[in-house]
Amino acid sequence: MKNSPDQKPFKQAVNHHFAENSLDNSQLKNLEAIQENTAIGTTKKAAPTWSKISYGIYAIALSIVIAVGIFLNIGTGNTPEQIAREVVKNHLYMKPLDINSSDIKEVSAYFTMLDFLPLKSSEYHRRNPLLLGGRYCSIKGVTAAQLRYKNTEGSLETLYQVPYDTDVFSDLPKLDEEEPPLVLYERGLEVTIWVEKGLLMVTSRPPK
Amino acid sequence: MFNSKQLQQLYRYSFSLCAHKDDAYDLLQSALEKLLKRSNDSEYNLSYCRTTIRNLYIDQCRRRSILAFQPLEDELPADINEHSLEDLVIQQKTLEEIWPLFDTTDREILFLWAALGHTAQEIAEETETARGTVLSRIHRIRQKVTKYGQAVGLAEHKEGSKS
Repeated sequence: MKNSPDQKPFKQAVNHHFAENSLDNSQLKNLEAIQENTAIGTTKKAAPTWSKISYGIYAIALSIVIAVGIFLNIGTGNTPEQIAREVVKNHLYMKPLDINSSDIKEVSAYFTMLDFLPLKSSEYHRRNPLLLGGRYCSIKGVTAAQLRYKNTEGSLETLYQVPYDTDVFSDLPKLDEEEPPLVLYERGLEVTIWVEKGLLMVTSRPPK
Repeated sequence: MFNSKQLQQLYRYSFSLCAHKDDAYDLLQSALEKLLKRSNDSEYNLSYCRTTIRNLYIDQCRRRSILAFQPLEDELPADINEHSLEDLVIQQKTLEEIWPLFDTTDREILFLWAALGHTAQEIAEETETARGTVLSRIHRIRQKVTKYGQAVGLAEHKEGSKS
């Protein structure tokens, strides 16, 4: 067997392979922000004398997370398609729900880490789906609520809600201005995007 | 809190399981969120985070009806030892060509062995596998490397390369 000058110990080559795959700066900053702004044991009650201070710090921290998310996502190309790709990937993963309930008030009350209140969308609920529950997620780095429904045909649908910001999400159809929702298709799923009452709403569902 | 170096290490562990950059990032993010939700900061360490990543990966595979870690089919070879990968040499280009041959278990073992310097016993403890199974896996990895290496004439033993 010929000896090659390019050969190196196998362990070194394996390490090089892994070292070639790294988090990029924006991913790293996102993860650092998540750690900085989500205190370990947020489910524990703070001492009464500190509770107001803790909530204040938390509100500032959450604002920083959202600001970082917005900053990192400014001017990043074709936004509706990016949103569609992201929500479809989340839809296909079907991660376990943080809360299981068919009561929108109960589900909304669970999302204490959001700086908005998830709404019962008039556009979406015309279809009369059954709410199954929700979990936290993010769209373009901004923390969002993910609500899972079962439609009348028995298929699972996902509704994402996140505060709407044109700088982050580009100009999208506004229901309040009677603009029809934008419909896209990604990986065999139908994705519908619209803005309602200041929130960006995105659904992913199997096409009819 | 994990620093950037530790986050990179955890990301590479995720990548060793997923073999996909975006999926590895999502997996790591989910694991961090899960750890942060817990009230025990003694669990916020690298080892525990890797276990969380591994369990989340298994859950994801189960939901997608994919087998997360492929079982061994044959008996453990008798002549293996945990240093059987140490004396291999290879070109980087050849390793990249071989890499798709490695399954999830292979990649995880390679990461724990090469990047973290774990012994077979430590890998066995972390992955809750018998040491013999880990050794058998190492033997399989070596077989894949040498078989492919012989085919292209580039992977060989250090001693062989000196001759």
